[in-house]
Amino acid sequence: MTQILRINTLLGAAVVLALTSLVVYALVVAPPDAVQGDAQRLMYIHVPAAWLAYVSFLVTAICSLLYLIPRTRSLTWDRIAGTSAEIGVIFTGLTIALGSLWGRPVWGVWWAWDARLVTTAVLFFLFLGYLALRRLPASPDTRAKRCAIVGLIAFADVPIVHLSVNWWRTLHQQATVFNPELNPQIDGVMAFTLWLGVIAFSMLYVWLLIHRYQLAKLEDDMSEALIDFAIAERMEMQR
Amino acid sequence: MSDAGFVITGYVLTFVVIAVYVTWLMRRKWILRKILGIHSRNENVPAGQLPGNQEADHHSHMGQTHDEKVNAG
Repeated sequence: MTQILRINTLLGAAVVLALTSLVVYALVVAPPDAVQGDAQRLMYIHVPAAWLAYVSFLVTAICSLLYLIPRTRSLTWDRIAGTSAEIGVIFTGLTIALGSLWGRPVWGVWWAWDARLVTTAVLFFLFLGYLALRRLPASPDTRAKRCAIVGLIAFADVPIVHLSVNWWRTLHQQATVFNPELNPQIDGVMAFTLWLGVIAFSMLYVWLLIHRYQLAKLEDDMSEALIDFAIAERMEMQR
Repeated sequence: MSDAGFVITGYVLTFVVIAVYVTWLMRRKWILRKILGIHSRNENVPAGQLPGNQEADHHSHMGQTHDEKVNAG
């Protein structure tokens, strides 16, 4: 336990260091884009935020599947799925907001009914619904089962979001790194800064997931303890 | 607003969102730990039924933990 705490503290320090380095590289070291100028600097947080959201929902889907398989069924998977989805929703919202801030100077509009933007908004609302479903009163097992099914269905939108720029003619640019040819269209300091952002946000995700999981466990312990407390009080009254 | 204005707004927004979420997370963890801890020192409640008594929480309901109860169906 002490070892986990120590690792988590070290990870937290590494996240702060990585995010600080990212800000320095993104705002100072990396050169402005030849076409978009300084506005392109938003890419160094917009892409990592989207990456973090994808990873979060992938973890939710994997844990949901593990919960649905009787051999691996455990409330731990349900808790991880829920906590990961919450982080994913926050970063999907952030991705949309950052995209909007980037779109205004580059496209001239805050929002366009573009395939990538619309599918991302759908993803955001799907997982917002998933989080709402988790709050509906039910036994832990019933809640976990229905959330696992909804989590898996909602995850189906993630590949649609990623491939939307290839499937439809969109205003949004095509994938720079994970394009169909797997030929990254970025070079030098810009590529390094983008990778730094992806690594920093991935570390942030792990750190947030650990803390949010601990909180979810405490919340479950609390509700369990309250039930025990109520039963004890009732038994005391009956004596 | 200039390009730099949009960029600064984006970075500030990102770090404010992260900071607010982390603060909420830590505060809620701290409050729950405190509540569970305070109740475990309540001597008027029978032992084994105390909210926050970790041993009692995990081994209540006929020796099963919360997870075990669900996993057992």
